[in-house]
Amino acid sequence: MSKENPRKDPEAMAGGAEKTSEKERAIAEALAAYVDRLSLEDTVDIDAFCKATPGLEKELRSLLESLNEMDGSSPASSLGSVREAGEELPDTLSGHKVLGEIGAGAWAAFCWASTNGWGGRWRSRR
Amino acid sequence: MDGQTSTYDLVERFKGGDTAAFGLVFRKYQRSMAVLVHYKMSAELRGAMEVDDILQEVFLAAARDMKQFTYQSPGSLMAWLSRIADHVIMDAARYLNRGKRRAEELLRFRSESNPTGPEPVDSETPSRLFAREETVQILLKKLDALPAEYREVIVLAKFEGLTTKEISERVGKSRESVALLLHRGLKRFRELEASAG
Repeated sequence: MSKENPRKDPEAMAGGAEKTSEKERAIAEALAAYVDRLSLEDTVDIDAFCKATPGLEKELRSLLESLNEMDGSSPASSLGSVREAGEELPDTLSGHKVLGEIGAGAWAAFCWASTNGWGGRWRSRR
Repeated sequence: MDGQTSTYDLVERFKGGDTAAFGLVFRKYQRSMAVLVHYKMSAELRGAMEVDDILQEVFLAAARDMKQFTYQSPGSLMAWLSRIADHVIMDAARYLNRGKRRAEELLRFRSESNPTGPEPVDSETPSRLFAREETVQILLKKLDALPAEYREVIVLAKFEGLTTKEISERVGKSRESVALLLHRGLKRFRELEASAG
């Protein structure tokens, strides 16, 4: 990395006054490799991944855990049905036959409902 | 690659008429899409409509047009959904700017301006609703607290699913710089988590 050309210097490019140490570069590279594998929808074993970067395991693991925690506590709990357990979908809604729940957003539930095409849906709102 | 196979299979199953497969697509992508849509929307647009208004249109369009989608590689579905979101947001902003909301198209539920539309149904208990909203809002609050350049690379990597090479092309920085920003951003995010208890 040329210090003569600050435009190519990651310290300058990263925009921070923070000093970039070799350790930080190594962790950053490991993080980048992890993100690249995620982008391939690869299932990555964090334990094995961190063990492959000796000396950086603890710090790397905490960062990867933070990244994964952004998914929510678990796919099931964060993305599951907004309906209470045991609560059944109505058979019809606004004249549409309800076929099933697609899923739930933060404030709404989305359902399939039969109309003359894909158009039918409803949701709950606050 | 479970994820790759899974996404491909879900797309193919849905194309083959298995509507339940779309529910799984929705569950897999809705949180990422919610965060992505939040940051794609302008502050003005966020003040006028909820992220779920946009999400609803995005997933409806995805369901309607899935037959036109061709799975090419991991991440291609997310990229496609992201492009749909761009179009939906652009449409929403256009109508917002013109001062005439397409209530009958964006929000087709019964209201004074749309008396024949279906009624909104409140089927969620307040506690569950609050808990669900809270997890997304807490995440957004932490992301909002990050410096913009840190937040940008995290959103692109984590929620848009781009590779570091793709991010570097998107933001015009070297891959190494992107990696450093990602590292510093996650460190800051972790500090925010710790300070929040």
